[in-house]
Amino acid sequence: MVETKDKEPPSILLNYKKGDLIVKEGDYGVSIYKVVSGRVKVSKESPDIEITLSVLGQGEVFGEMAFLNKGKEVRSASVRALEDCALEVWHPASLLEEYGAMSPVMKYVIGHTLNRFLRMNVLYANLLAKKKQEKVKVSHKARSDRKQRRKTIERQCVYRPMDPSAGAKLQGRVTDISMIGMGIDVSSKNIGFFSHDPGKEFHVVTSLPSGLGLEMACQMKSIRNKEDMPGRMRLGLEITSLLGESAKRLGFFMTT
Amino acid sequence: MGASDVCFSYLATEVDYADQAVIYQEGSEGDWIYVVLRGQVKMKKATARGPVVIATLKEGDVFGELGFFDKVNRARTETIVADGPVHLGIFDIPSLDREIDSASPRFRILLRTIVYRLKETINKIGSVVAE
Repeated sequence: MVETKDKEPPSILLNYKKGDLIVKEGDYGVSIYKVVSGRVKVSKESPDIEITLSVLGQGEVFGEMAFLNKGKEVRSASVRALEDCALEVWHPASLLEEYGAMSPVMKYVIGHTLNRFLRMNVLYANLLAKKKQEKVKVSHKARSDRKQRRKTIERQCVYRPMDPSAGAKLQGRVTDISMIGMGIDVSSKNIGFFSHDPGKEFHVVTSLPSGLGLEMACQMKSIRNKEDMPGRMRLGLEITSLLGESAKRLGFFMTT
Repeated sequence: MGASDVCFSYLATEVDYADQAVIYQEGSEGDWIYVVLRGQVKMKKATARGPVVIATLKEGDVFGELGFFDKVNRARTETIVADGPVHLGIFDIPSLDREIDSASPRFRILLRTIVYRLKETINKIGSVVAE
């Protein structure tokens, strides 16, 4: 017979009133919640619009991303009490410890599931963003032809979130570049380190074929899996500013 | 941890499939967990516009685990088809079962939540792509 583990940390039970904000999108947070009674609403709250993603009831869990990213990422959505509710609150530390102590094969299988979960979320968010873009008229007609021209290059790059304390430096391969954007090829494992959601700002360092360095601030526009290369993903970024000598160097490169 | 390190000790069996052979069909019930040892498979989702390939799985990739972790609904959420001849390993399900059963209730609830969310997302991707 197997013994059940009974050394779980005591659970915290919190009561919320209808309308209370439980999790705020954009804030740091480690708690994982289970609904004991009542219902909550999960939604994305951008300045102009609120999109309800789901409604959760008794027995359902939210905040689980804190387990996957160890609380190092900000919350991806807000959660509000739809009615008075009672929530059980867990800290991910003991769950992570338990996971760490599992057999190598179990961790291999669960690890794959978790990674697939992250990648599917990214794929879905990107598909939705694309659908939204298709419905919005493009108003940026002022870009010149010279600026939109793209060049294929194959250069290693290092990128990190704009806030240096927010995450690791990761590697990628810049595959093409223009004055206003670039495409970077990365390992899918990169998504586990920090968020690659559209809108996220990155600091990117790379170099031109001549060896001259480029340093820029960029914004994530799109991300997709590479069908022909599983395990790799393609990031589409918009260049928001070219730092130091980069503007001159890239400008010269694009015209030659 | 590479596929070969994990697999030699923990596989119940290994099996070969020919090109285009269906390993399992979406909607069928099953809890076998597979790992690709040689070759690759395509993961397909049925949509209003016909089957859509949503992923290609290569050496070291695992599939079938959703049917294992979701004890309530064992229906496969995708169809897996061999892309060229493929050699697969199948994990020792009873031993994985024993290990999961001895995990804390909280861990099992967390895993169940992630599996449900993943299934939902896979289904949503199918419908968005089909639009």
